[in-house]
Amino acid sequence: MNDDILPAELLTTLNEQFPCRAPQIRRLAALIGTDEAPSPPAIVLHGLEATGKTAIVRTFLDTVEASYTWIACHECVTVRQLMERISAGVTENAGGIDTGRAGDVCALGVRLSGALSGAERKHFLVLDRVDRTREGSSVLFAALGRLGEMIPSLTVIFILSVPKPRLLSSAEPPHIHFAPYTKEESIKILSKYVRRIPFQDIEEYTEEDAKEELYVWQKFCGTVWDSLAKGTARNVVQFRAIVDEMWEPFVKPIAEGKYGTRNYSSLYLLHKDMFRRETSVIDMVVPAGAAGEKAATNMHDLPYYSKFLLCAAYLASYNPARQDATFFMKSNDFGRKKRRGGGTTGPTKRTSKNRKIHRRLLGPQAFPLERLQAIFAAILPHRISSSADIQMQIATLTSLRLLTKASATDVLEASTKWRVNAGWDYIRHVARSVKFDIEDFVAE
Amino acid sequence: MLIIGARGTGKTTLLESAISDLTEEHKGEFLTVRLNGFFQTDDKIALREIWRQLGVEMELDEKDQPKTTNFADTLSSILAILSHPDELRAPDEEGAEPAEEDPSSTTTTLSVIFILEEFDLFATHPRQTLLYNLFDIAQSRKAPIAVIGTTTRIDVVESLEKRVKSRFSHRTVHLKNPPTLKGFWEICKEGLSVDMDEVDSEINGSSDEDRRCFESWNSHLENLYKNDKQFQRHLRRIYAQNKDPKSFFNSCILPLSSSTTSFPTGPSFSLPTNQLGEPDSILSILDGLTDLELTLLIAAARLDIISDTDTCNFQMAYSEYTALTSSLKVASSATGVTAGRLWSKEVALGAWERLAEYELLVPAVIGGGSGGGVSREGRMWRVEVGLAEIGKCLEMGRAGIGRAGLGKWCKEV
Repeated sequence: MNDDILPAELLTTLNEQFPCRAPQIRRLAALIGTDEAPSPPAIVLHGLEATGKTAIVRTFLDTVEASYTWIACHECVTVRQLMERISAGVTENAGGIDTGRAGDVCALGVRLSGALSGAERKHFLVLDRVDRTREGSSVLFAALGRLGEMIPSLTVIFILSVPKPRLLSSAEPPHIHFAPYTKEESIKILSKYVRRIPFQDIEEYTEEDAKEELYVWQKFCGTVWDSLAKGTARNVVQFRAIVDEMWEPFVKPIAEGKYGTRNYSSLYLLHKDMFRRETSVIDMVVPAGAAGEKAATNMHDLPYYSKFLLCAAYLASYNPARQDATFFMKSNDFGRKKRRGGGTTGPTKRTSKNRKIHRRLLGPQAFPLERLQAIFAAILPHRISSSADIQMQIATLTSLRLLTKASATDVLEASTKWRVNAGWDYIRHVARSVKFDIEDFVAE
Repeated sequence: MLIIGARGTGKTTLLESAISDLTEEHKGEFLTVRLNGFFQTDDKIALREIWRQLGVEMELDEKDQPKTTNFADTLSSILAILSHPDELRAPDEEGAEPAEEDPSSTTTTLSVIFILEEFDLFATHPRQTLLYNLFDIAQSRKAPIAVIGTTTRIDVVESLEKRVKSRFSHRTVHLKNPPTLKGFWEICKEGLSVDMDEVDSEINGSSDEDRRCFESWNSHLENLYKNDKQFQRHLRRIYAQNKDPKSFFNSCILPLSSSTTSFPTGPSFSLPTNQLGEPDSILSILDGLTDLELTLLIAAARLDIISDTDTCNFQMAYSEYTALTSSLKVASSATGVTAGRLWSKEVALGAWERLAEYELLVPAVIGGGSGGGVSREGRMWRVEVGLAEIGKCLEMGRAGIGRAGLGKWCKEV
C-alpha cells in the first residue's frame, strides 16, 4: 500500500511522449513500479501492430531505471539460440559472472537463478514478439512463464500481438491490452509530426504559419483516414506512411500560392482523384506508373506448342472431366457450346439449398497427364504426333512452375496428378497470342 | 503419490508448506529434488537436473558429476547412489562406479523427496524410463525415497504404462475449488486482509496508528463483501467464470496500487471489467481490424454457411465480398448513405493474409501455409470464428464504432 508508485512528473513526461496511452502506462506503473514494490512473476502485453507496446515498455523501463534484459524473440532462429541469448543477456545485465552456456530451458532456469540469486533489485526479462518465436511450443512458453515463479526477483514480460488463451498454461497472469488507436487518437499522434509545406516563399517561419500548417495537416489526415486508412491501413505506421506519401502532392497548390490554407474543401475537390486511387496503399517496389505496363508485357515468351499445352492444362484443371466429351469431341462440334441446365453440380455433393460455387473460385483441380495430352490434341488446330519434344515442353512448363505436381508420387508414374499454376488473366493472354478462343471451352 | 487439482487450487503451496514443516522437524535428514515437466522436457535433462540438485544439496563439486554424454552411465550411477544409502556421501570421480572402497564414510541414511510438477508431462516421455525407475526404487524399498507428483489431469494414471502403473501406489489426493461463493471469498479475503497476529509478531513496536489502520482495512474488506453491490457482483462473476483466486487478485492490483494509507476509503471495485484480465477470446481483436479485413472475414464466415463447406480460399471470399459491397452500394444509392468502398484484389489479398497472420484464418491442410504449390489466391483456409459470433460482437459495439451496419450481413444469409 504505497502512496504513489511513481512520481507524477515521470508519468506526465511519458504521457506526453506517448499520447493516448495513459491507461496502459498507468497499469504498467502499477505492475512494474519501483524496486520496493512487488511485481507479478509474469506480465502479458498484447495489442495489434503499431499500438506502442514495444516503445512504451522500453521507454518506461529506461525511465524508471529498472534493470532489464531485452530479447527480440523473432530474431532467434532456434530455441537454443533464444535460451543462450536470454542467459547471456541476463547475466550481463544483472552483473553476474559468465559460467557457460545454457542450451535448454532447464539449464536456463539454473543459470538464471544463479545469476539473480544475489540480486537485490528486481530484474525484468522482456520477450518481445514472443508469438513470432520459431520452434516455439506451448511447453516452452509455459516454462518461460514459470521462470518468474521460480526466481523471486525476476519478472518476465511477454509482448505479443494476438492474445492466445492459455498461452502460459498457468493461472492467468495480468494482461495489459494495448487497444488500437481510434481516428481521433491517430490524428492526434500524427499531429506530433506535422510536415512543412515545402517551397513556401515566406522567409521566416512564424507561429502563424505553424498554426496554419497544423490546421491543414489535421484536416488532411482526417480525409486520408476516411478515404483510405480506415479501410485498409489502420495502424499508425501504415497511416503515417500514406500521409507522408500524399502530403507533398496535396499541398503543392498551397506552396505555389494558388490556394490559401483555409480553402481546404476546394483543395480537396482538386485532389479528389488522389483519394480514389489505391497506389499509396499498395507497397510496390516498382514505381506505380511502370507497374501497369509491366504486368501486361510480363508474359513468358513461350514456344507455340507450350502455349497450347498451358491452355490445355488450364482447361483440364478448371473443367470437370465429365464435360470433356461435350467440349472436345469432334463429332459433337456443334453441341459444344450447349450447356446443360440446372443439373450440373460440381464434383462435391451439395444439397440444393446451398449456393453453387463458381468453378474458377475453387482453385485448380488436379488432373492426370493423359487428360492434358488428350485435351491438347483436341484443341490444336492441326494434327501433331506425340513426340519427345512435346514431353520436354511439359517438363519445361513444370520447371517454370506453370504446371505443378499435385500428388507426392514419382513424376514418371501414371497416377501422378498435375495442376495448373496460372491465373485466368494470364491464360487468356496466352491463348490470344496463339489465336485460340479459350472462352469457348471453359465450363461455366 | 499424486496430487490432482485444477490450476490455482494450491497444489504446490500445499506441498511446499508440508515440506517446510518437515524441514523444521527433521532438519538435515532428507533432500528434496524438484522437477517440473515444463522445464525437464525429456528424461535425459531430468536426470542431469537430479544430479545437479543432489550435487548442490550434498555439496558436491560440479566436477564430480559424470559426463553427460552417456545416459545409461548417469542413470546407473544415480541408481547406485540411491540404492546404497550407506555410501551416499561418497560418489567418486568415475561416477559410474559408486565408491565401495571407502568404508569409512558416514552411514547416515538420507531420504530423498522427488517432487514432479506437471506430472502428466513426464508420462509423455518415451518409455517413461524415469518414472519407472523412480517408482521401482520407491516400491522395492531399495532406498528411502518418496515421489510426489502434481498435475491438473484427472486421468493421468491412465497415461502410465502398465509396468509403471503397477509400481505406482495409487495414492491420490484431489484438491478442489471452493464449492461455494462464501468459501471462495474466504480464500480471497485471506489474501487481501492483514493478519493481525503476524503484524504483532513481525513488526515489533508497530505503532498504534498502524494497528488501527490495518484493523480498519480488515473491517473495510468485510464491509465491502457484505454491503457493496458492485463488489459482490464482481466477486460473483469471477466465481462463476473460473473460481480462480488469482484472477480476483489480479483485478485487485490496480485499485490497491492506487489506494493510499488514508483509510477507510480503500479501493472501490467500481471497475466495469477486470482491466488486467485475460481477453475472453480472439474476437477481442476485431475492433483493431480495418474495414476491409472485417468485411472479408464476414464474407468468409458467410461462405461457411452458404456453401456448407468449412474451408474457403481467397477467390471465393473476394467474390462474396464483391457481391456484398455492391449490393450495399445499390441499397445505399437509394437511401443516400455513403457506401463502403470496393477495394481492388491486390489490397484485399494483403488484408486476407493479415487475417491469416492474426490466426483468424488457419490453413486447412497441414503445412498449407507455405502453399504446397498452389497460388496465394487458391489456398484453402478455415475460418476460426463463426458468423454468429462476429455478428454478436458487432451488435454489442465491441468491434469498433460505426460498424453496426455490417451486422446485417451476419444475419441475412
